[in-house]
Amino acid sequence: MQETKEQAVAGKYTSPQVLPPWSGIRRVAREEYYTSGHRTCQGCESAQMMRLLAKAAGPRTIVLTATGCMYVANTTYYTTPWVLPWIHTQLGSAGSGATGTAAGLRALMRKGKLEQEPINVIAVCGDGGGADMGLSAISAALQHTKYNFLVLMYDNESYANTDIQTSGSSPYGVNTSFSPPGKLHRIMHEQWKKNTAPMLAVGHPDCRYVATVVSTNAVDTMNKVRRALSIGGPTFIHCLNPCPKGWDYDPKYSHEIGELAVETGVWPLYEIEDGKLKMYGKSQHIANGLLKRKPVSEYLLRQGRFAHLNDEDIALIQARTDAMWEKWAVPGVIAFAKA
Amino acid sequence: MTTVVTDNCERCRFTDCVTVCPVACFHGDDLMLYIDPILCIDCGACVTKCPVEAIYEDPIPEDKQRWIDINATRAPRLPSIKKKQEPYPGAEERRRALGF
Repeated sequence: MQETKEQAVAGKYTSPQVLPPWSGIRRVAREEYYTSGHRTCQGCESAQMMRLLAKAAGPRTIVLTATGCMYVANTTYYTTPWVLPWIHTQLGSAGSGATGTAAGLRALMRKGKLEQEPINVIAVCGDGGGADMGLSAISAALQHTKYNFLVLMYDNESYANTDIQTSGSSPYGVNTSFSPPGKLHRIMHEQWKKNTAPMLAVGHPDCRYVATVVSTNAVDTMNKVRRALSIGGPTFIHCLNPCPKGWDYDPKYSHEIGELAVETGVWPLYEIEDGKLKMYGKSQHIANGLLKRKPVSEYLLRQGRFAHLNDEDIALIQARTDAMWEKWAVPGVIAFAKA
Repeated sequence: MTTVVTDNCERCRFTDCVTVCPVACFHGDDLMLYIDPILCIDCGACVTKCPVEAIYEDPIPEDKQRWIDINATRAPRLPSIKKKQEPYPGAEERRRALGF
């Protein structure tokens, strides 16, 4: 008997994979699904994120990558590190690509052309492809609650693939090829970083899981990916990735810069599951007042892209970061307060 | 994540464990060390390093269960210990008394 649409929605075609969290580094799977064969820069944390993502998702996964570093550097003519099935989608269409792939899989399974089994669909986009151009597509995708997929945005705070142009995710005062500091104007980029994860969490009440991660925090990052894939429906993860080329520091400091972003409070780690916010890692201690935030200068002055900032600029960034933790309605996440 | 420091560490505090911890999750008072469960990645490197076998990992024995709470509440409030320190005075005697 033909299944009705509702039965199909509730039935096996749409049930996600069950991926329990790994309780420690030694329980993590040894299989790699993102291996050698890529041409990312030395010290690339975005590539590290892809590796963790593939490892966490496991073999029954389809990955889509919108144009960006992780497309261009990963799939240069006949070379690829992906052991998983991989598709390129156009810049800005990570959300629509994910919805289409999940819908396609469901249709093929319903028609009996594909064996019925839960298959992970992960769409990967950069901050340019996600926070700038692809925002509408991701927003639309997060409304399609009957499909299971994860949209992962790896955020290196610039269009790093095309030579470090400013994106919506670039922080205040940053030196990029679109905002070089000069004698007349020291600060050429005066916007503050777009707060993408809370924007999508607040604006899409049916999206069950939104999280922020940093790839230096490997076990937590993989567990967040596994949770996002198991919970069902569309989910979103925002990952901060230090970029040696764009942020102008020695590649060996990638891990430390990622740690400092969390320790200075610039990058809060949290997950929003079914409307419930939970901080984790060092951000949890910062939010509970158990860990003092390091001064932001420790994070900023490690990077060449902030080398032109003077004490006044750093004080301004420090004040904004302090306000984020002390004055925001939801510290570190949502900025509004009652009028 | 459940790796905990238990009563054998009291008045020993050899701090060999902190030399192998990859995430610097050890915190300590004058008496002993504690593991911050939020930062610990459960790698187990410290378990074999402890000269008095004070560190337990999953599954924690029944009689050591109370240390899970003690570690979780005390560790974040204490200073982080990242380098090896002098053991507690009389630590060697206590170690022998414990049978190690």
